[in-house]
Amino acid sequence: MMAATRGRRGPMLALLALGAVEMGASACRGPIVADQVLGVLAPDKPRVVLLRSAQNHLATLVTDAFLRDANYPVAVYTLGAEANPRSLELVLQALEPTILVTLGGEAMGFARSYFPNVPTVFALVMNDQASVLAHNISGIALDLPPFTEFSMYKMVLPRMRRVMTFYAPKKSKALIAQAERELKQLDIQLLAYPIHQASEIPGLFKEHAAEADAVWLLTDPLVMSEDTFEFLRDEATAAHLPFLCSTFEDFAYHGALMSVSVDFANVGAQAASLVQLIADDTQRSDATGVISPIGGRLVVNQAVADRIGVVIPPRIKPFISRLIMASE
Amino acid sequence: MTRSGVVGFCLALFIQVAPSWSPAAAPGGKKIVYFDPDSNYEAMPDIVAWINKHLATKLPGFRFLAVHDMKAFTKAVSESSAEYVVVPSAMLGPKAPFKLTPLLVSKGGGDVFYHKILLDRGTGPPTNLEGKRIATTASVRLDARSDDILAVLRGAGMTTTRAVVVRVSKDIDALLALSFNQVDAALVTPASLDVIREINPAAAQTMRTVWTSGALLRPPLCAVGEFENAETRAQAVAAFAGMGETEFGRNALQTMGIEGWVPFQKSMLKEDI
Repeated sequence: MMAATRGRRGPMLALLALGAVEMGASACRGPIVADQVLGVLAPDKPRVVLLRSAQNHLATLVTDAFLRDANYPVAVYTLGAEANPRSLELVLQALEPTILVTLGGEAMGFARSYFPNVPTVFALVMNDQASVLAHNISGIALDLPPFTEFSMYKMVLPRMRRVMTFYAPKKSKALIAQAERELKQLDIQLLAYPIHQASEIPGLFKEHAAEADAVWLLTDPLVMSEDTFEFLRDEATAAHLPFLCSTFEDFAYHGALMSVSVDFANVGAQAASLVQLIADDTQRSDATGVISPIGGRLVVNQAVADRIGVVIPPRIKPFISRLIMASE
Repeated sequence: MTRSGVVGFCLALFIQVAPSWSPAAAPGGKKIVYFDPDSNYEAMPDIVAWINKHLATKLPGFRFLAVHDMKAFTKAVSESSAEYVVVPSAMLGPKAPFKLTPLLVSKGGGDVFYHKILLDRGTGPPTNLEGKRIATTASVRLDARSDDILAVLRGAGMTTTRAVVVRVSKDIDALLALSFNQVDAALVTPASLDVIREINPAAAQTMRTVWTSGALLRPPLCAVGEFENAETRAQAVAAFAGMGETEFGRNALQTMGIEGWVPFQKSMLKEDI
């Protein structure tokens, strides 16, 4: 791995000084220009190119956090719809990157096609794609571990012991097994009910709701639908049961008590630390490979809390990412 | 649709938005700029909105805005002609880019001072951070980058060769990462450790405090530049000191993890590291 850092450094230095790379008109549809260039080349620093599939809100959050924490030179490029991959390949080859950071599936696909031998750190990639990885790829997954998610829920509901959920065995069996294992560490029992169609949920809910302290909507394609969300939200609220939702904070805005989603600024910081670990050649199997996102965005709906009689402890308010007030 | 497909579809719904609390989004009027590297960055839109609603009744004509790094702070103060700032106490020292006169200091846990503690999982020599990942919200000194944070720990006698700092949005993220073996150490406030003790006592028991910082003065409210109108200054001081009097002010205080504001005294600076 370190051999890759011993290449010529002249081109990178020149390009970093210019802040942009331009290709001849015959080679591409227009000049390929770095979005951002950070840092000064040093012999003991990795040469990092951050490549984004597109410039959007999430990519910007991850990029900003990555650049904040990177203490090595970084050139940022965006693949975009207009980019000619061959031209971009030439531009990046000239930079002689020792580590690539890719944000998004297309950027990772580009990196694997054109730079398979350059160690790559990915983020914002669907986990299905991330599961087929080469030895020199590390990255941050898109799914939060249930341990993290429920640790945050438990800050608001410290006495929560039994949580009811519904899942499609074909899709979410592994997630349920992981959740049962991890929630034990938090002294929480998962009451998981397998379903084969969403229409089974109302009957199961009515039969078992009294046994639960809370209801969890997990990220399962069969369960995470508008109809199921609205049913569980309304029934849980009527029964004064906290309704907890994975992945999207919009659920909390639309009447769930809480949601926990990925904190993309944390993801950027994690990517920066992964690059440093790879550059240092630490070979730590627990620190590289595909790792889970750190922490999460806890969004709590105060109006729902008031309605179902949940008192949010004031001491945990500094750890809530967003508290939706009754007036909103 | 697969599980990841659900995630992908919903991610595609995200749209680009300008933060409503940033200087760029702040309308005209006199400004109060907030910069605290130890704050919960994610909660900033709420904090700013609540303080502005509080100020609307207590200090009309002023807008409260927040920035998240030193560069943005310098720009916001110089370009928006801020009259007051809330900043880390380290800014009162020689590094201060502006003349600042401290007026009030925030108080939390009954104290105007706080500490940072470095926790690990209780294995190996406590002073050896070699090759370890350290999660932290920000700094124990003003606007510290990763290298500066490691320098502070080296100054405390620790080995930091190839140690990597992972900066996270809030203290609890750092402690959950430590609990879940995503990092090897966490530099946090004791209040966050109390929360972990409650939600996961077994994990808290495995954590070991390997370093405690000196007393850090909580962020003061300061006047910027030369002495302005005494009446306005008295109004600003009263508006902040009275944050507990309105619902919006109380919301902001709780989310900032403080109870209120007390008058600044010069002797407070001597205890700062």
